[in-house]
Amino acid sequence: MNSRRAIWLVVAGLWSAGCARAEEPVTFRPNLGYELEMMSGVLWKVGGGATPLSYTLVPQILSLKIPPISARPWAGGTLVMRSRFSLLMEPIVRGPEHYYLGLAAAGEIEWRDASGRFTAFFAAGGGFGVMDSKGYEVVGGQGQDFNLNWLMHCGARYRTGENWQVSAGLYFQHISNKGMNKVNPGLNALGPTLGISKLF
Amino acid sequence: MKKPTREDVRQRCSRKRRYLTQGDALEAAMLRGVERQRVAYLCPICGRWHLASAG
Ligand SMILES: [Zn+2]
Repeated sequence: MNSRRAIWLVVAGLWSAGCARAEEPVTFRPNLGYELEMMSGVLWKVGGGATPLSYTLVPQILSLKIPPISARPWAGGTLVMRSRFSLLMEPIVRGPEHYYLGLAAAGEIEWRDASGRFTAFFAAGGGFGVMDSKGYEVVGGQGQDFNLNWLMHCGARYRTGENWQVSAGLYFQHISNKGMNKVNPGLNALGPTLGISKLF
Repeated sequence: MKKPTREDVRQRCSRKRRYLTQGDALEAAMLRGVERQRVAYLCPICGRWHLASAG
């Protein structure tokens, strides 16, 4: 089978799957309980007054979302406010340090379409963590192990079944020690994330 | 060495380039290849960052 034929078969398969889905409207039970999400991403250093060094982080983020504090109809769907608590496990594959391990709490605002299949979200929050700081060995590195973080995360989620959801997003993270140490260039990083979550 | 007068300190500030953040100051030093010979410090007069000779 040549490659063009293979591509055609894949396209045809996706198209027919899409049609089959369109024919049977699916409505999911409202996602108003707990949710556990595992997320992976790649973040690259961006400017904005922080360290001039190049950094690449590969965050692995496990988040617990608690039941929404509010859910109300809006724009043909539902607007939901909830909180999430995250364990940040972030290997640093480029940069003087090697890891950042932290915790963060964030408020999340979600808009869900009427069927409950599609969600757009925006989250913002912050927390703290530790890293193997190298600011006294490498100029531009972070000055101490204990650091604060804050984050912004936006994206979309797609319900694949009653209890499962996949997501794609864009994540911004700031890490610094707020001047607790005189070496404090800070680190701003931005990049894409992919996630999978289980609804309870 | 005599204690620097207030006027000395003020001149030290006004003669120097100001950077908004420590990161910006370090970046400027790195661009000139002198990051090992400079330290960034927060100026008490202007509230911005300057570079000074290290050591
Ligand atoms: Zn000054």
